[in-house]
Amino acid sequence: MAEPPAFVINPGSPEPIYRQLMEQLRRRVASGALAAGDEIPSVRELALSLAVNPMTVSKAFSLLEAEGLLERRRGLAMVVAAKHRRARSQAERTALLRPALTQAAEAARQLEVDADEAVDLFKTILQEVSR
Amino acid sequence: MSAAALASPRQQLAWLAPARAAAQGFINQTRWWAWALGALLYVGVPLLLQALIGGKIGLVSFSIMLLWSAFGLWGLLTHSVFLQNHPTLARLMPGHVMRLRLTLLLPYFAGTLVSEQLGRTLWDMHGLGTVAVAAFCFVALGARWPLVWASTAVLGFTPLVNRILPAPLVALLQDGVMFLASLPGLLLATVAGAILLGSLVQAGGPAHESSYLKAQARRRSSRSGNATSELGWANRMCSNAYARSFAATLAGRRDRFDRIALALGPKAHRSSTGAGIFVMVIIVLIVIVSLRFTGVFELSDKAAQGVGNSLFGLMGVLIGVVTQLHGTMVQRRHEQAVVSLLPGVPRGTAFNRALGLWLMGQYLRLWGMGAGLLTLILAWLPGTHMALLAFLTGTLPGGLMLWRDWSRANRFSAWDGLAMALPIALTVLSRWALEGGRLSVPVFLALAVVVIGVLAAWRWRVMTRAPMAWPAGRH
Amino acid sequence: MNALPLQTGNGLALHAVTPQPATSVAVRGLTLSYAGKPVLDQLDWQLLPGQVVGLLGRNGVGKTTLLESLLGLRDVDGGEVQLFGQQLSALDDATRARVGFVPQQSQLFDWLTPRQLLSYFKSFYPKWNETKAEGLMSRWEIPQDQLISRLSGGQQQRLSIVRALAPEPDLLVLDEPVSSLDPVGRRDFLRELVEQVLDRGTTVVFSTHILSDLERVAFNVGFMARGKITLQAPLSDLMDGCRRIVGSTSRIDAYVRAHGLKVLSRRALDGGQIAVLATGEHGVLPEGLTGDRLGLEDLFAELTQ
Repeated sequence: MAEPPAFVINPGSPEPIYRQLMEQLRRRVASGALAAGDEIPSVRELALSLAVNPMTVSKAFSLLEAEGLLERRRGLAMVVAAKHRRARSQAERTALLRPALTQAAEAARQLEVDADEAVDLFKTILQEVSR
Repeated sequence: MSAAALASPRQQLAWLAPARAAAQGFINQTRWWAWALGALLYVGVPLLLQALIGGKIGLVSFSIMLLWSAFGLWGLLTHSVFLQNHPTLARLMPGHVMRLRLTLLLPYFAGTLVSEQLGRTLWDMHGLGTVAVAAFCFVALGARWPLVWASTAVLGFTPLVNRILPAPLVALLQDGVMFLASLPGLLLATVAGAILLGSLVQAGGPAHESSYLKAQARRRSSRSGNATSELGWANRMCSNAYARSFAATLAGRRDRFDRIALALGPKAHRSSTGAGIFVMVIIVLIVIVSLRFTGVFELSDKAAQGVGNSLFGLMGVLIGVVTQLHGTMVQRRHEQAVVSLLPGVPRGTAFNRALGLWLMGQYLRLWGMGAGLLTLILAWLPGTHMALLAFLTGTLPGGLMLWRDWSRANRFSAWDGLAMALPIALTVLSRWALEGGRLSVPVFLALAVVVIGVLAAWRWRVMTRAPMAWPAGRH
Repeated sequence: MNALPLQTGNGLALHAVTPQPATSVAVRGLTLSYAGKPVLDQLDWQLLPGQVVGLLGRNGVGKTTLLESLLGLRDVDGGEVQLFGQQLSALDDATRARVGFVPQQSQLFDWLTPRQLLSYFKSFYPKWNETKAEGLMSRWEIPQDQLISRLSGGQQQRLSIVRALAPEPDLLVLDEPVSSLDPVGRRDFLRELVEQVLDRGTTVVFSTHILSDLERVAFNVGFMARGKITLQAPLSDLMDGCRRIVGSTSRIDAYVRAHGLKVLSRRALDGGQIAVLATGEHGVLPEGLTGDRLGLEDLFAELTQ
């Protein structure tokens, strides 16, 4: 590892910390910041640097291992699994957009905004952001 | 701790931890000049006495000082052990309570043994060990409950015990004392004393907590110069008087500075300061009445001397009042800061003037009360009049201590202590001048007026030129 | 979405379970009243070794009383407490040496210096990690040779923590331990706790109002209300499985029944509606009901009324 990645914990959000960690790890792998075979910080390192209960970190890692994103090696730190050899495909990355869009959809429903209007708004914002 | 752990020298020394902490606490809190003073006394006084009187007096006085030190050390140790005896530690720290008890008991046993041995070898006296037991227990009790020290007042009556108590009871007491001086009596006393000392160290629980909290409050208030009364009913009387006066002051029936002075809290109020004087005068009265009752009064000039000396006790109260006012001023800085910003409160020199007048008014009111009561009592006691006059003139300038640069006032400093010695010195001087007939009364009075006038002018100047008194102690 | 696991290896919830010797702390039926009002009401609680539990409750609910009763600093009217399998009334010195306590108000000897204080305490404990104590003192910049009465509140609190951590306890009880510390000091302290847990598997129970700290370090949370521990569960499970559902009583009851959810709290709102905290396998919300997932602050508000 060149330098320890800085993870950001946001306590107070409805999302439990282990999920936030999982999400951040997924994003890094998806964008290529963490390639296959790269070591991730050990439970101890991450727990100490973030001041987070090691069981939380451990839970995140275990779930990611079950997903196939991470691989455990005997006696060594965990690594990104081999099959994530390159950045994810468009389809996979689009799938990662789902949580954010789900939130937006729920907000739209609460505000009783029409589906077409919502989509138009989203397109406008996408254009604004990419400028 | 296992036996193996105890064997190592580190663990053995660990048993000394409470005693070591007591020593460290004392060293931490004693200023350098106290050490210098102590050394001076220990070396200087015996040498001085040796030079003045000769003979064995140097050695005797030195050994008496050593004895005092032994008492002082024991007092320090017990005081510190009770400080260390925190209810949480008693329940949570392994072996804490037992070690504290041992820290008391080991020196106690050693001291008792040594005393008994010394008594037998040096003066062929039995029973010194029992006396030591009593002394150890008394000091320890006094460390827990300071009020116990007040019982020393009764000690003054012991020579009169023959006159006060009926004869069979006196005989019984004498038999008891003889028994205690013997060896089995000593053993009994030692065991009883050990049980007492052990029980003074508590082992946690609600009773322990409440007594520890009370002791803590007492320590805090005595450190800041604020006196608290141990007697609950006296406190309640004072708070009732205070509550009434508080309402009256706010309703505007008193002058303006009284309202401002409310910021100082109930302890600076006349009801609490006046109560102290009142109690002291009552005590003087009791002493006089009891002396008369027991017929000691026939020796009138001796009685006069005694009464004159008891006036020193009253001096202590007056000094205590000043100390209390001083302590309140320093303690209530936050309240003073708030009040000094209110509209209508004078600022700068005008404030100092108003405060100075108010403080002196408080002091004079109390002084006048004490003076009036004393004159009333002593008027029909010939031979005390000179002492009374000396006392009154000596204590009058005591209030001048209250005229100072309050913005620089801190917890009681050495200078404050010296300033307190002033009324004492003046009184002694005046007594010497008056009673020996060295000065006639009119000359003395004229001198007194001049001296007090000069002192007053000086202190007033200091007060009015100082920065604004409130909040006190900010520099 | 995960159902709220009510039976897990860590953090048992509401059922009173016979204490096994493997528990660090076992509380059964603890009862205590002050001036006629019940503070602890047949309280049951259990802490397993290595757990980090945050104790949450409103001001004045009795968290300090509970923590003090756990350690035998407060005499209770009824019930029993066992620490490491030993009855509280018969704690021996070895067990006492395994317990560390950081009270809300630092109870230090303010007439000593930190160096003297620590050497005093060292003489009582069989285990004392000198290196750790020294390291913490220098890292937290506590002057070793200044009278404790002259230290600031934050420094005194930090010294209190060092004093509790140095004997390497197996059970650490903390009552608002960070109230006087600045954010950096708090972060540092949390790291220390994490290290204790990592290296030694210390059981930690602490009460604090700083929810962000608690969320980081505590794996389990216990909510205290009306004299009992009303709920104890792993925090992440709670956050995953709970939803706050708002709507009319009838619709909510129907929904809850339909999905077999467990209702943790119920609160009446204006306009005849109620807010319910339900946990379990949630489905799609029907018309007329709104549901939110909650952060710790909202959970706290709902579960400690």
